Amino acid sequence: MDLDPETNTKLSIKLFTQVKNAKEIKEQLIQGEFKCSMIKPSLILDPFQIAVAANKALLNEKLTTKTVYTEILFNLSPTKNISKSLQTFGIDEKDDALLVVTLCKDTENEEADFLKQIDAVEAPIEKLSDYTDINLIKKIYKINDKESSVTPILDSIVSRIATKDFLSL
Amino acid sequence: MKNFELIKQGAEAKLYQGTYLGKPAIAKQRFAKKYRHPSLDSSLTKERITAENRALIRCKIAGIRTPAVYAVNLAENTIYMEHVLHSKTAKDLIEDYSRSNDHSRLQEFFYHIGKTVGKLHENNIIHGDLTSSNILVVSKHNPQTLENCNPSDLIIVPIDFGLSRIQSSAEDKGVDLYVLERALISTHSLAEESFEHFLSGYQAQYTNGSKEVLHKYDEIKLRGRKRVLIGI
Ligand SMILES: Nc1ncnc2c1ncn2[C@@H]1O[C@H](COP(=O)(O)OP(=O)(O)OP(=O)(O)O)[C@@H](O)[C@H]1O
Ligand SMILES: [Mg+2]
Repeated sequence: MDLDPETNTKLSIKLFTQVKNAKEIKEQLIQGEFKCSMIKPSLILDPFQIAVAANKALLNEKLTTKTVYTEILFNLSPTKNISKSLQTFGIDEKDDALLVVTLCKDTENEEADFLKQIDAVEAPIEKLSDYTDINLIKKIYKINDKESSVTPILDSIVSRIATKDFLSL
Repeated sequence: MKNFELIKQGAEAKLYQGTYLGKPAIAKQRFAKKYRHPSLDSSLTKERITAENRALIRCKIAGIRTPAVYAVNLAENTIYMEHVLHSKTAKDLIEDYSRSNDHSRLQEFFYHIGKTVGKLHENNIIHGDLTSSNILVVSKHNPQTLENCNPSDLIIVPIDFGLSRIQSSAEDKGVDLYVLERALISTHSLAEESFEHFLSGYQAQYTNGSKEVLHKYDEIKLRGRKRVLIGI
């Protein structure tokens, strides 16, 4: 998936299901072994939601968090509390599905080697909707029925992500 | 801004059209004004961008349709937003109705614009620059066709919130109405006779507070007229 051409970066999103070793994976992730964001699929309505968050991470001159990959999780979250954002959108030890987001320069084409360590079944991204929890999403992004009756939910979500720095929530 | 095409050169912003993150998009870039001091200019620009972003979200929360925002690039003073497809400005639609002498649709359309502005004010959103080109319309049911669409089948999409602010004062809301009335009357020959329909839509929506605003609005109008009479 292409991002703003200025970033010279490509985005890849993979969905893993029937994950058996989320606990190990999470430990290695925290130790910085994996260069990726791991995201809870239940909170993602559409890959475009991640594209907007990743694009914002790359366009911003300064990061709020340590790496571009934690920044994606932070950007996805409507709160400005970093640890809460990472906790909400990052994976849990008990999760049996997860999204893996990687960035790579336009010119490169590296297949992330660490993906082999995830004991899971890779599913086509179209299956994401099976894991999306729309009510939870509406709750987290504070989207009420007044809003969702006129604005598509994806529009509400991405607009909040893109304008996060300007909102005083 | 790669592969974007300039579509409008405004007083403070350039509008480009293109594709962003795979979606049809408008890039609104604010540019420096030569007569303004550079540091003042950059803080004003940032204020406008902030105001625009806040109002776009606040409108959505209030149940008012506005363009989705895809990205904000502060280094280039640009907001990338949804290109509202198959839309028209209220300005063009009013001209269509006027040309075909369709007074009843014109009045109904004014009523619906009144309702939308009523909703903005109900939620303490002062637009700051209400004109008929800062309002877009799209069809509710059949997104492709605006021709022969009834005003009740339109979605009204206010845009251009750079001068907006969150403010509950009746005076500010009254000024917002006055600005719109002046803009409509100077742009459209049939606006003066239809503006009462705008006001009834406004009141119908904004039941809790429009009375006070309309009172202020009458005062502001009177002040305006006096100013014209004594020639300032
Ligand atoms: N999201 C959009 N989708 C479709 N058309 C748009 C959109 N945004 C703007 N336009 C078109 O571009 C015109 C100008 O846009 P806008 O009012 O935001 O800028 P502007 O008037 O130049 O701003 P300023 O008030 O700073 O001068 C609108 O009247 C409308 O025709
Ligand atoms: Mg305008």
